[in-house]
Amino acid sequence: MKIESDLMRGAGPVAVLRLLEAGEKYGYELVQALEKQSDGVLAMGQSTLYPLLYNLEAKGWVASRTATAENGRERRYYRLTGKGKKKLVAATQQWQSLAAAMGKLGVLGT
Amino acid sequence: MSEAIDPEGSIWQTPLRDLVRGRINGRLDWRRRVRRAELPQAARDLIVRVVRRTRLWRLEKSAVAQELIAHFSDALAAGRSAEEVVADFGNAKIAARLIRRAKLRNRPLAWHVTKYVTRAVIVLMLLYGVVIARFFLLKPSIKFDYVAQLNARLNAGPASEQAWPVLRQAAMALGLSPANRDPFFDERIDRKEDRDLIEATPADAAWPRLTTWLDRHENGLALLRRGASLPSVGFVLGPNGSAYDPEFGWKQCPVLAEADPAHPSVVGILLPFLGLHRDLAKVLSADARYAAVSKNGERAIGDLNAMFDLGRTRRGDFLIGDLVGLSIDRMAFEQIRLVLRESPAIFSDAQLIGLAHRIAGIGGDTPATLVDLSGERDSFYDMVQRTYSDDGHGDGSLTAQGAQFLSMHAALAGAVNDHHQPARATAGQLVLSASMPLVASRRAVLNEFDHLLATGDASLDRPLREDNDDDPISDRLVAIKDSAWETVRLLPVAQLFPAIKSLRANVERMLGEKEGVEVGIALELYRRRNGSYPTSLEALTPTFLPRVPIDRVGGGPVRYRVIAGRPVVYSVGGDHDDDGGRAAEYRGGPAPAIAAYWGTRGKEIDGDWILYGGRAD
Repeated sequence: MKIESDLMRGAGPVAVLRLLEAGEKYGYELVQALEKQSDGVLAMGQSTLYPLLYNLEAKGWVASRTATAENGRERRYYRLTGKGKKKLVAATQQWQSLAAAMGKLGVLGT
Repeated sequence: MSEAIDPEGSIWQTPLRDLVRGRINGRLDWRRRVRRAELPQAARDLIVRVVRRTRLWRLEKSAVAQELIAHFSDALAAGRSAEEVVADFGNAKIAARLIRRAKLRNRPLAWHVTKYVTRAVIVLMLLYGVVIARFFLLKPSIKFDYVAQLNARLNAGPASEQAWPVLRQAAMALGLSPANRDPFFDERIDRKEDRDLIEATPADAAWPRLTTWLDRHENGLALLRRGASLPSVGFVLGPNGSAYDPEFGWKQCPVLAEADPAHPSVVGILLPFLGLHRDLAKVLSADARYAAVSKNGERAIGDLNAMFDLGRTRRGDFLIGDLVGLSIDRMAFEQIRLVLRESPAIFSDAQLIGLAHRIAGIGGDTPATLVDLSGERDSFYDMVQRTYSDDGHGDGSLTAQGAQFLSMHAALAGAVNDHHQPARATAGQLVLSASMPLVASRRAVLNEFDHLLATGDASLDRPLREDNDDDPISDRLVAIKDSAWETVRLLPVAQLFPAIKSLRANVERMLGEKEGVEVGIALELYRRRNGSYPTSLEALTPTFLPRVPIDRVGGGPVRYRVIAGRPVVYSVGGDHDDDGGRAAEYRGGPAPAIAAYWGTRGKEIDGDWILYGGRAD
């Protein structure tokens, strides 16, 4: 199922932050994880993932470093910052409240 | 991972170029990195399209290219086909736009500040361009001939009542015309006291030379007395008027480059007769001294009356004319004081009473009885009509032509000319020129001027001592000059508003001396009748003096003492302290009028303001 872009705009950053909570990841790794862990629901166009990461970096929620992988490939790895962790906690609470409210309305969990 | 040598990249991406950019390994050459990536051509083309479209800095492009190379390499390694990875990536144009937007957010604060400042500057320049265009397109419209109005005022009456033609003849006969100036007038007798030969007194060794000169110029003096007695100034202002008189020695020399030379501005007209009136008054003053020494009271009275007549030219004129008139009046008072001290007997009682009546007719209690500001208002309004456009509803904008006029006036007034610092003066001129379009509108400038002038006009009705150190006009003008923005915005007002407080002080000094002389004449008449001076001034009223004058600085009646058999009439002066008729000192000697000061500056002057009598007379 394809999520509308307005919803994705709110969900995408939180999803990426949540994935990075487990440890640093590079771009394509995030693409795969999003697709796999959301059963393809949150699979975003790859062209929008990188701008999303750069925006999160501009806000100070993620930081990046360039490193050479074992296969000799240079990759940029992203990790959650302290500020990003706080943001994730706050965003998670908001999403939980939203989900609960939607549940009461019968939109979720029927 | 080392990279193979690429001839093209090595030539274009030289180490020096990289060094300049802070890198030394050629990694900024993102195109080469893409070319050399082990990716299908379609993927490489997509990366180049995206990175190129981002229009980012080379360093940023390099980072994006590196990330996309890794992305596609990882996707291919994950088993996706070349077609799939390109298709999965999405629209290159949208990707480039989003990447650019996100990367710009990551740029340093200094870059963001520079960007917004640059945009603000561009917007301001565009706005300024609009203002400048308007500034150059608008033209002033001259609707009223203020010079003609002045001429009508100065030259009323028939030709036989015009003073200037006769005074001109007198000046030529006395050797005071620039074309035929007598070197006598340029001789100094006392460099220390800054006195000319024409100012010699019987105590000076040069006195006989002065009296000889006066004897030789009887005819000129007679013409001078006759010319001074005529009621109309008779001086035609403007181009080809009385100021342009080659025979007399005045050559046409416009002060300002006028928009319409045939109808010059009030501020641009020449008033050389005012300076000449002062010189003529000095001749009369010298003759009055000579008459006193010769015990010729009638001739002395004639000279003094002629001086008061010359002083009358201040009326209906300009403040500068008022000031010249005041100085001539004070010159006459000085002579009267001198005669009453040295040889009072030359005046009969009738002559003294006549002189007192003549003096009583000069001014009253306040400066408003002697000066008015209508000439200054006309002058300013004339300047405005020559510098501003007119929208027909009392408003308009400064024009380029008007700005040139103002700049020239500012230069003449010394506002931007600093001969000691030419660089600063040039900078001042440039700033002034560039800021001219920012000058306030016609209505705003006139409102400011009218408000200040109304305040000034009202202050003329009030003795200076009642100001209590308040000076709203000076406060406002200082506030304007202290603010760069207000100085530019209200430039015409800042440049042309008259120094009213100073004018009031000058008038008050003259009125104080006038009242001192009136008391002095009354004291002399009292002495003649009673054999001695009175013990108080109240004894003079009402027979010899209508009322005792008020101390113009301290308030209350003027002070009076008889010291060593001679009367002294005085004001307590700026320090408000009665020093018993002791004149304040200046440069080691008594200066009778130096204590005639109001406000905080006057408090530091020890001594009294001597209005009549005392050692200095």
